[in-house]
Amino acid sequence: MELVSNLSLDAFTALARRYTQPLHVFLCGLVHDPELARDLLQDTFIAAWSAALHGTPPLLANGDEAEMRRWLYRVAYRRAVDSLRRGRLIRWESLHDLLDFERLPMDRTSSSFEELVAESEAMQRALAILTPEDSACLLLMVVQGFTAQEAAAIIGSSATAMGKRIGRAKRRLLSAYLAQNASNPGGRS
Amino acid sequence: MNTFNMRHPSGPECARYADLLPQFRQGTLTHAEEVSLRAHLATCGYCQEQLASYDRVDAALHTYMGRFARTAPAADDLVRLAVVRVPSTSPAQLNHHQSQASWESRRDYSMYNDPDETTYEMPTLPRPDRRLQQTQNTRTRPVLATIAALLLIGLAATLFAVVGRPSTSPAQSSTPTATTLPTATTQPTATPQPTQNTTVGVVNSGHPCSTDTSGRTSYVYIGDLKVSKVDFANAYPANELPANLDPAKPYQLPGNLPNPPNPSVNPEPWYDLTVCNTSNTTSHVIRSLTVRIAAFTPYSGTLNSYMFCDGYYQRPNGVSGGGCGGGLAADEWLRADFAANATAGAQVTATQDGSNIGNAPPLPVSLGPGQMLFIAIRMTPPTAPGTYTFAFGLNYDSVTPARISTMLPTIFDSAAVKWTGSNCTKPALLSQIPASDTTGKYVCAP
Repeated sequence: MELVSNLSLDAFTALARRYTQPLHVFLCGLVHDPELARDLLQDTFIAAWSAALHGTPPLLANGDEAEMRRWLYRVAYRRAVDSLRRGRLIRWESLHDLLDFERLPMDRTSSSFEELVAESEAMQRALAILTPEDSACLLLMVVQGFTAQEAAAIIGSSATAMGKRIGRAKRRLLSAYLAQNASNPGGRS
Repeated sequence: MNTFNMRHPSGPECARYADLLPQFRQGTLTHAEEVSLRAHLATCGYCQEQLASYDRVDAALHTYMGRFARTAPAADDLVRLAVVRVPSTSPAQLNHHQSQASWESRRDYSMYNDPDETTYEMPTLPRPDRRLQQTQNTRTRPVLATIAALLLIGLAATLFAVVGRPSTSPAQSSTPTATTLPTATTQPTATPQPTQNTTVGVVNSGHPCSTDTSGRTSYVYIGDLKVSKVDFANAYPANELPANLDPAKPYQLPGNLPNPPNPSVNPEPWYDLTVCNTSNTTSHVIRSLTVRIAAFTPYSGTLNSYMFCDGYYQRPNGVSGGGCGGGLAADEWLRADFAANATAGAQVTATQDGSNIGNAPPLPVSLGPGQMLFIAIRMTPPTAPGTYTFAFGLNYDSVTPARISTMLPTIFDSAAVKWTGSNCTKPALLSQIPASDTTGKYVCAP
């Protein structure tokens, strides 16, 4: 037995400030609905604060932040999968996001506004064909920068399986993305 | 899609590496696989292009996902709501000895079976149309219990008056009155209710300013008080559409629809703010809020509006959009009701909203050092259609009122025509949306 201290509110707040945005991005990629993602994110932090109050590792004052990060992502992932599995997901797309294209990153000087919009929609549709597990794998490893071992711990798989899963997910995404862009006259050419 | 077209033919060995290529950047290949793949890539133009394609899709994925970052809720909001939702009296809030078992081994407790699992049903990020359900479900219980207790007390006292007092005749015993009660101490009385002038609730703990997670970026300092600018409480205001729209035709939404709307149209009239006492030593009495109509411009003609929660119509999927809802967990629930004919210059003092129970005693409240209040205000605007500018003030200590902030002009018009996506499903309107148009987002009049 070892004396441990609960995570303070200040430390919890700092943790939330660091991971709210990336977790929200992760959840949006999984459920394709920013509003639902907000709910799931809120649930995640409620669970996290509850765990912190209960002194649940790794949410301790001396807890390892990398483990805390994985804990948050795992809870968020489980909540998203549960939500999708319950079949309660009605596909909503908020105009709040869809209409605000002017904020899309303009990092490619050759891309016109229309091309960026088309690419964005193509990516949205391409992602939608992936299973939640494959989406999570992509989002964790490609977007969030987790290693295969970390991603495996988050989605409850093995690192070996993650290799196969990321390969399959990227192949499917590439195919779907190419098909979407090819069928869209406004796509990049 | 020429950027992804392959200019090199695949070779006889390329198929061997097809499964390895997408893993090349992910660190999931064995050393032998990576060495072999690198050697192949050095000589194979086709696989180099394949790899470049994967890289481009990775970049596109980054770009696409990046746009969601700006829609993330404020982290401090999440913390505040988590703190509100998880009982602070949990014994685990105290430091204690605990096994350092890995969290993975405890996940059944902390993730799958945690007591907050049911929070799917009760999201508490501010969203107006689920607000009342939540508050009625969770916050009316104390009120009902109080009412029940009062009824029981009244019933008991009545029985006592009937049975306990000296009876002179059957007729008298059947008509008890307060003046015939035996003693003053047994007389049923309502539980004393705090009044704004005489009783001051106290908030000395449990509401630290560190939980001021409103996400606001603009504050006004009034003496020791740090007060956030009053803003909509996720009121989902609508956009104003052109006034000359033909209701017999679908309207294609422009890509530059202001977000947030400017001006805001017919928001759910909910506002919120936080008040933090930054003093280390002094309490301050928060008495009430005032709302004043700083400006008013009548609106004439037809007001067409579109609110994104109402969705739009887009081929081939049909009606899309929406997803609004939610709840609000405030310390104080106030309401500010303007007279129907109120106009510029009119001012009301917000009163306690009896339909919601906050997390703090009703105003006035003595706000202890370092403590804060999260205040929600439901407003009843005047009925005259027009553009209103509301200014908010704070009555505290002996100051009445101190100016807080002024909202941007907002159009209230109960006769506004609400254009929605679902209206476009009427055959006469739907037939006007070109079958080949899969990019336009349309809304229609009722």
